[in-house]
Amino acid sequence: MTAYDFRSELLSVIPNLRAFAMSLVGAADRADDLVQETLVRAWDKRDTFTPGTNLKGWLFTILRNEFYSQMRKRKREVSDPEGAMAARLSTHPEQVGKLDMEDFKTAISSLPHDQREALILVGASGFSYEEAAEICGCAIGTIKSRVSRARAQLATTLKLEGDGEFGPDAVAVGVMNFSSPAA
Amino acid sequence: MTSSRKQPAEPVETPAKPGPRLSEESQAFIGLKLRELYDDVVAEPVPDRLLELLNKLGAKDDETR
Repeated sequence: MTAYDFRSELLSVIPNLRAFAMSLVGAADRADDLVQETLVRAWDKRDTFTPGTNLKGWLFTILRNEFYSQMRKRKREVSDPEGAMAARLSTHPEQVGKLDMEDFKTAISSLPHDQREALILVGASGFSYEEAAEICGCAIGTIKSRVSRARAQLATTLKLEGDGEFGPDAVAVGVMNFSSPAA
Repeated sequence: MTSSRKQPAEPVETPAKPGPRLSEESQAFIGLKLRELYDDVVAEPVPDRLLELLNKLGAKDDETR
């Protein structure tokens, strides 16, 4: 693959990388920092990429690794952002029927990191469970479990199903429906 | 998927409890909102600084080859 090809392929994945990065860090400038770092790293190790294989997955893996290594470095600076999110959530008691995107964003950002990324990878980025597992370096069952718990948590937070009483019979079939990425 | 398998597979976390399941409506709703949120960002133009970075990377490469 020539340098030019690789560059244009990188370019084609950037919109998806930005969306994934946004879901991880929540702020546009930090998301773009993360994408920038990802592109530099990808470029440096482009010889390790096999042309014709899944570049998007390869780049997502790099971005995710970069995110977690930054998080480890910054750990001390972060003061319970998830707790703060949860507090903000509790000020919206009456969401049924007028849920807007801001509420949804807040609910998403209140999920634990591992659940949020699994949900995004499978539910929005269009990866299979298997691909998501490879990106996250974990077992497929772990991804399935995280996605399932993330959705249950969202439903509770957003009060989608009354007082936590979920319908009795939408079982695994529903899980599969939700998870199959739009082609 | 390719070479960048970093971590060894970790043990499977406790599977989701067979407890509450979401209704299809809720699942569809979450899926829809999720994609809407994500696709809004995907639809944004690539920021200039990322385009410049790509050009810079490419230029460096063109010189050395």
